[in-house]
Amino acid sequence: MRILYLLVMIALGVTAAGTDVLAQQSLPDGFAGKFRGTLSASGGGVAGEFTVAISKTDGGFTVAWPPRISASFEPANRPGVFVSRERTQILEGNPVYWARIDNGSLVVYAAQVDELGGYRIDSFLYARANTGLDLVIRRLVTGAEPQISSGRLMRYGG
Amino acid sequence: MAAERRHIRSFFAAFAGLALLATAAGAAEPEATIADFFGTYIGNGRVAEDGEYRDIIVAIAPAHKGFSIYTSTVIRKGPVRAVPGVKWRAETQRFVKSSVPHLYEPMLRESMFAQRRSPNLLRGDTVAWASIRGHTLGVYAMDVLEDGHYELRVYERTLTDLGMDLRFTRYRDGIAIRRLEGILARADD
Repeated sequence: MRILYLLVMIALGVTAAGTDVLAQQSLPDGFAGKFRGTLSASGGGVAGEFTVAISKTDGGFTVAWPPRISASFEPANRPGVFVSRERTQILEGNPVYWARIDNGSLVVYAAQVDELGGYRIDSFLYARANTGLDLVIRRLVTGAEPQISSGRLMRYGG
Repeated sequence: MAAERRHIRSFFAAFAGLALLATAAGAAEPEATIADFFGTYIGNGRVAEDGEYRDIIVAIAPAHKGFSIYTSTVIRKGPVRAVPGVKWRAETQRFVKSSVPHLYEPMLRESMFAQRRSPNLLRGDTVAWASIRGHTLGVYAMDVLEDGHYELRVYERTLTDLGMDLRFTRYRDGIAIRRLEGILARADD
């Protein structure tokens, strides 16, 4: 009897773990839509109006944000990690995008090396809020202290 | 009142003049070339987070189609070197000019059978490069970790009248988690 109980518990554990992994391989509810708001910044970070459009795709999702950046993400072979498989050669000047889902938050990354060898790496942390998304942007730029911007984005456009 | 306005006008005129001079001086200052860095530099530094001491030797030399940086670091907890637990690390990095102007990439030792491919951040490769901005030689190494966080290691070596200022920062997801600053003197030939 005790062995049967153990087997049932192990099976339940495996199922729960599998569900967690599946949940991490898709965009959680609440992120798809259009959002806009005003960001305040410290240390020269991104400030002012900010809009983002997030949509689910087959097996992944797309994120579009200013100025005219759009990246499509699909699951990497690591739980909770998504990659954009478009041009990935960062040293040839191509921006590289990837994302991860962590504790129900969505983090989108954009990294680029410019023609002078300088870098710019942005991370966009989106957390679900009652009326939209809370956003924190961390920006690393060559020769400057890390910059942080934050604000609440409200859902709009249905 | 009029005198006060004249004072304010002359203050702003003087300020604008100084700003113009500073801009002109900045513009006239030529950017360093890699040859300006060739030499040996000796000095010390401290880690911001735990106050550990470092004794540092940096030697930058020309190498085939690029340059090499030798770094020797003595890691010690206190001001005295000869104590149990003292550590020493030394490494040489070699960089060659890449196909992108102003950018150096690590020299790879490859077997004649290996097929060369560009490092891919999203496949777990470390991407490293070097470049010169102003009087600073920057060496950078970036990784996207297994869990999707990123790490960037920045080594900046800036030429000074004494020799070189050294600054190392390790960033994780945009936050500095380890910083080292050092001052080095150029060794006589």
